[in-house]
Amino acid sequence: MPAQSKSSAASASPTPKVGALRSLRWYRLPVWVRRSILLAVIILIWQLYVTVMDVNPLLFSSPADVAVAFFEGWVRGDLASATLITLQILGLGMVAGMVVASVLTILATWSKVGEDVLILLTSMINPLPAIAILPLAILWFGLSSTALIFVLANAVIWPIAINVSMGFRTVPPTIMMVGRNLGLKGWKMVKDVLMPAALPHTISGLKTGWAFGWRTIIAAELVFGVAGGGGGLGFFINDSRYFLRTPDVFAGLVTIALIGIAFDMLFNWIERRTVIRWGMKSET
Amino acid sequence: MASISDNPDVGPFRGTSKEEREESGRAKSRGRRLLAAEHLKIGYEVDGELQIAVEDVSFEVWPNEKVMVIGPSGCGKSTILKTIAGFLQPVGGSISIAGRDSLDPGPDRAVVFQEFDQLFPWRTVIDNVVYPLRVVGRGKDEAAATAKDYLEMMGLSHAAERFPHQLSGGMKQRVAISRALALDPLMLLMDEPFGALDALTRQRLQMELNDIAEKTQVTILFVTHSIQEALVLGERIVVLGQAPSRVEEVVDVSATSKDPEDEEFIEVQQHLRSLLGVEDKGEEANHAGTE
Repeated sequence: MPAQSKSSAASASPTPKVGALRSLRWYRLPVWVRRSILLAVIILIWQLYVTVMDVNPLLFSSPADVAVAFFEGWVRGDLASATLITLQILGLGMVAGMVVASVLTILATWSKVGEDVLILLTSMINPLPAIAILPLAILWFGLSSTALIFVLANAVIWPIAINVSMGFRTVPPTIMMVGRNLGLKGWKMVKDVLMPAALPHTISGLKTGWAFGWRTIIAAELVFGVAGGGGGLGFFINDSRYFLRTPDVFAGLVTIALIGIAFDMLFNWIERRTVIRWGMKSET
Repeated sequence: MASISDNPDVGPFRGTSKEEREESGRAKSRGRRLLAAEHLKIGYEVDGELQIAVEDVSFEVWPNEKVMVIGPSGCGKSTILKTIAGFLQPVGGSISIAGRDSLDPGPDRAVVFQEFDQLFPWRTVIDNVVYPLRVVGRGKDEAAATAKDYLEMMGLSHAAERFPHQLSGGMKQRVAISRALALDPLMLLMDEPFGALDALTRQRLQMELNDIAEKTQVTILFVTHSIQEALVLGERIVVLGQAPSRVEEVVDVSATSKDPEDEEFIEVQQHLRSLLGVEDKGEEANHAGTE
């Protein structure tokens, strides 16, 4: 579709047909229209592929089957409850991670040693995919949601702590002096000057933390599913695969993608309302 | 011109009684020295070694006065201002403000900085002025009314609901001045507030500041590296030497013409240039050319 509009824009042929196409230039359309069209095209190609090539439905579901499975999953409630369980564990893990990250950030802002420790730990643990901790977590906590929360917390701690402490450290000295000039001290200085000044970093830390956490929880649940525990979306997918309910596998994936998109939109909305509105971060 | 050391008035100012303090607290009573800096010695610790930036600086500021501090770059003029504001502790000497020897930072010495990021980016223009007033304990309605008045005085009423990033550099500095003035401080400490502005805006703000100082009778201690600016704004000019700096001379320009074309103005300008050395001459000539 974009190729078509591009070529029509490039050729200056005066025939009425091309003229009509030119007035409908791709880039002039609103973003949501462009995206909807592309999505429709992709789904169409997907459906055509399944129909025309006569693919084995046990291996590859058609969009129509996936839509039915998705809808039924939510009506029946097993997809809904799986989603709820995953989000619950995600919430607990993120809260636990944020608490530890706050402590680390306070230590790192307070003292040079704390900062060095944080940087060292982050550079050691951050390159390690968080899911790699899962076997250890299972050894320590057994096949329980505690193990999942532990892995999840580990995934979110480091990006949040490193970003927020960076935010605190890069507060412009002038604005700190303005605070001191007003006689601000202690908690009031932190609350009214440091925290808002560090907000761009805090939000991007939370964004990265959530993205790490989301990928980790799904991966952990998949492994968990194999190990016989279960409940969440990863388990739902794995379980559906086991019983060859291929449309349900796709429906689980669609749910994961949709939740990812929803959270991205939430963070973008928060950014637009705060740091972008205040000119502390430019719109991307 | 008188330096502190040979002024017999020094005695009663140190360790004043509570009465005296309250009396001078308003700072509007003429004839009482508002600020006395005596033998200030200020240094920084660089790699565990003390580097002295300011060797021995004494000067004073009287109520309603506009005192300029000028000197070559790196002479510690901003350092002196930050010490008076309470952000730094002197190595030696003393500062007394309205009879108090307090060196804690406080809104009685409201600072206007050079940097545009001195405004809180997450607050609107009006909130940037209201918030400090609330911090110092003013009521909600009173703070809002005061902020509105000062924004109006600086010609910023139309921009009250904007965020700082939507303002030009000149407007940002106007907001900073409004914010400082609204606090009704004993004195305004201005640290090259127009240093980052273009020549035209700078000139306009100099005029505005003169008008406002006239209107509000606020006491100003102003640090600049521009001789022209010092002459246009100041009543007395404290000229500092190279670091570690001392006071070269305190020039009284209260009676000098403020017109850069005037012969008298040019004469004093020449005198200040010779005090500051040749290097500054070229720089200043450039400034004069653009303004």
